[in-house]
Amino acid sequence: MLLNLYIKDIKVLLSDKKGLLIFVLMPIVLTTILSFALSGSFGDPGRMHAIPVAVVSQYEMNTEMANFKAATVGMVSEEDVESMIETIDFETMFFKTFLGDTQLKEIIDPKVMTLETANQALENEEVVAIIVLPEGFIFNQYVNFMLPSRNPMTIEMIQHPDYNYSGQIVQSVFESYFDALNKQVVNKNVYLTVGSTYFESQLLFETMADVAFDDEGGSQASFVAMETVPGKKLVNSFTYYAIAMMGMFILYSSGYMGRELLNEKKMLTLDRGVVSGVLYGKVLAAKFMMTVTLCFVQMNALILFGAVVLKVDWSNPLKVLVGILFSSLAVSGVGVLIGAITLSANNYKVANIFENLLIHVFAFIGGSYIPVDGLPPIVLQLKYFAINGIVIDLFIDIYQNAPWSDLVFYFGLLTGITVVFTGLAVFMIKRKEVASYVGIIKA
Amino acid sequence: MIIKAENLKKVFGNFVAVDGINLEIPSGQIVGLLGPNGAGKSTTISMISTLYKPTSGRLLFDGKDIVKEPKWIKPHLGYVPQEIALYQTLTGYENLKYFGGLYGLKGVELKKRIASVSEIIGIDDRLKDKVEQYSGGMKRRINIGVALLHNPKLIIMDEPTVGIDPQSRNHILDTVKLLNEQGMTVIYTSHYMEEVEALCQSVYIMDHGKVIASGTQEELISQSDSHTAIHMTFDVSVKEYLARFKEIKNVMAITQNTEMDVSILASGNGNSQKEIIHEIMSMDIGLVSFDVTKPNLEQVFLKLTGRGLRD
Repeated sequence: MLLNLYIKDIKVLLSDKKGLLIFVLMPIVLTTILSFALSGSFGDPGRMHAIPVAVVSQYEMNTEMANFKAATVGMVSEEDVESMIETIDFETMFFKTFLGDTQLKEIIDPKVMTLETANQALENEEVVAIIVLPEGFIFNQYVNFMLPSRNPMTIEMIQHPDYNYSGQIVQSVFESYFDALNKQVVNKNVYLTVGSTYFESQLLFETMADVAFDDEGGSQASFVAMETVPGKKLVNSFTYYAIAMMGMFILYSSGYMGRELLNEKKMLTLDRGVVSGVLYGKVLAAKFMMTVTLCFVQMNALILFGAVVLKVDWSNPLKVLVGILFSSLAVSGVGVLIGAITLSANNYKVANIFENLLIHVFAFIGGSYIPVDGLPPIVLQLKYFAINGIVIDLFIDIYQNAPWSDLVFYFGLLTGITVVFTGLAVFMIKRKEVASYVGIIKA
Repeated sequence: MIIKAENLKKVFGNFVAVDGINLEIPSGQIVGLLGPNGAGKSTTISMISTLYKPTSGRLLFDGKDIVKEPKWIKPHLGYVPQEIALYQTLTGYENLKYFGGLYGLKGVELKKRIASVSEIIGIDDRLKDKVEQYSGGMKRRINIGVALLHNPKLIIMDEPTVGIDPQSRNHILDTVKLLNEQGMTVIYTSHYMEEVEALCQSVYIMDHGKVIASGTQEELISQSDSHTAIHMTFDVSVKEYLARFKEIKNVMAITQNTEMDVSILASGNGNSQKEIIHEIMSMDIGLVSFDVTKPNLEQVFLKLTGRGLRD
């Protein structure tokens, strides 16, 4: 009998062309539009809180200074070197003038850490990126500014892959600082090249600092190198929205189910089934199975679309399939509860509210519209109250080929939703069945 | 008795929908259930269909208590709700297949039953079309067909001809008669009195949750104190004969409409009007024409409930 109910539900679903359009075509269209529209800095929401960044110093100040003084022997007098060091303090400039700037602190929240602590913080998502100031950071800057030679230097940035947008902001901030310094280095080099034709060397060195620092800042040829957590792929806008839209549109399956259950009641086909001996529980079970199927097919279609058209590289199909299965079960759990509430209330309000309001709230706090790392922390904390938030994080981890042990957390959350919501639905539907039959309410 | 209800009562909150009714529905009959809106017909039907549990009283199917064990009646009951209880986006065939499956029919047996039922309801050439594409009459017919698939002993039809064309209505009425001839018991409710008169061997009239009258149509007419009216036209004035007319047996009242035109109200059984007409003709006073209006269920219903059936 259950199979009969299930097949009928599938046939009814397939006969609803408009519904199918929403389930499969709409997310494909929206994914494509959003992916392309926001491929540069996808989801710029206007930042509302400072991005936590770890700053790691790998240099030792005394050593750096000693090395610089040694490098100037025979080129500049010891007195001039001391004077230059007093004039320009690169460490103070970076940590106090630059990182301590109040306007900057509205954008990023720098925290000085050791590399080990910073890595841990990145893993725990306490910071979104690590800026590594390498050995020679101070020495090279003095050389680049004070001496004719030019030492290239790389500032490494390690970014968390889930915070692509925030990472781009951090990168821009630090690049702008070092770009300003680079400009001074160029000034210095031009001055040295041209000035050597007209001035004595001693005079050149004496006045060089003034030339180099005609405005604030100063450093050497530096750039920020983007990296990510080892072994994890960066999530671009195509990947993100392929997942995010999938996370949102599977929620419509839940609303559809609620609507269908009440349709059955209104059309009296439910009564007809009850007269033939069908229990509400079986009707609910068949609807659950139908929603799992719908969601499973929908997610597979969207994953396939992402892989073929948007070139999303799903490295582990088995993890994808298992992820889809757990997600489908959880969505169906939500669906049966909406169905039970809709049936008990005997009107479409619940399904309507879910489809027209709650799905959009979930889409927002779960990160389907824009990545939530760009939103206030409170939104971030609400993320897992939305099933799409869980699904998005699960599939980003699957995309990054996270180990099974990392995925267990999400599977647990989704299973919890399935069990709790389905249990509540069964409880409600049994009460409804008894209430209708006994006549506490008129069915 | 295929259905027997004893002091059957159904209360929703403070509202008494059915108030201690007794029903005895013999096997193989078409039994009409009449009553104005809110009389308690649908609630009674819902209790027999096991959709509602009675608040009190007993409800027996073939002598078995279906309040305690609804499963006794389910395989033997066909239910035709007033609304079109079908999946509109599925074809007629898919609907029949699904509902047949709920009764455990499958494979060849199911196909045979679908073929048989679609022939009875006269819709076999449109089975592959979606129900939403059917006319109102065709929807009604397939609505009935779904209830016939498992060849039930008892079929409950709740106003099965509402809103359809005369041709489809006649087809449905013929179908009901055919099913009854094949031995099926039918509980039939309708707002069309002529349907009940044409189909039902016995009738229950309900009002305000109670059965206010029951029996065959003749018994109901007799119980209701409704009378036959004889309208007579003469070629002379009959004023001087009125006193003699009143003395004729079973004449209850006489109304002189014109000098040569009178109406006589007759009591007694179905033959009393013949005796009255025979007596007047024997007076040889120039009777030109007469017209007999027998009491019908509509009049009975009106008299008992104070309302028309469609009010």
